[in-house]
Amino acid sequence: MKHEDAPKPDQNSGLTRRDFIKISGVGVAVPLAFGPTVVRAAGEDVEVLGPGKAPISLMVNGKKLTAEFEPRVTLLDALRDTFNLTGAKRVCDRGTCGACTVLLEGKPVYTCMVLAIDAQGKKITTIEGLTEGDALTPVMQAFVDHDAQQCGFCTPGFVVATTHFLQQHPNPTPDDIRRGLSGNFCRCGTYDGIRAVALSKSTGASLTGESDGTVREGGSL
Amino acid sequence: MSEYQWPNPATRPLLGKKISRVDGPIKSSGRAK
Repeated sequence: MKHEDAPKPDQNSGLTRRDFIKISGVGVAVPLAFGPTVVRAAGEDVEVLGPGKAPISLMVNGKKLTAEFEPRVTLLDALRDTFNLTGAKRVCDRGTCGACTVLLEGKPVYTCMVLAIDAQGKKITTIEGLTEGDALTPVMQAFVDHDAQQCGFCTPGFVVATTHFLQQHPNPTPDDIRRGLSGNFCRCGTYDGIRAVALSKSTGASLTGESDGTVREGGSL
Repeated sequence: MSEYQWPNPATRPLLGKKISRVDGPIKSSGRAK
């Protein structure tokens, strides 16, 4: 059938079925593609991002880092896979072991349990941000001196947790240490050394990091 | 068979000595990958 033979649209309507579908499609697609969707949640207007990638800025160790992430990406994946900050380790990936611990607004968090999109605008301090260059902090050096590590997967998380713990508890008791560091696991079983680190770095102890490696009274779990 | 005599503890190069792990610093600083 020739094109000229095709049935003509009703000239009275001014709108063909094909035109209607085109207009409807554009009307739906334009807001989705170019305009953020805002929903009302908990009494606030919340911008909905995704499911595709969205630009996200993170303040990590005093530097503003920007990349595009899908909203489902965790802070741990963002740090390790995109920003090459591999100090935080992925071990359990379910908020149990603490190997991925970083400081978020000064508080230790499991980064495998925090979405990168939720960490926007918050101060993030990873273990790389605790020191500059190859220098070790006193707590890091104490982990070496007390042999408080073996395979090393849990060590960065423990260093971050211990550093924060000692800031909050300058002169802890062994029970304080036991409770304060209970959010981190070491499957190699170096807990004695880790507790020795915390005790040696307390205000009442020598800050030189020198120790005979023994844990004081009540220091064993 | 003669009885083996261990060296004097003060002159032993390894046994009884405190030896730090060579990979300790990079592990505790998070630089180990």
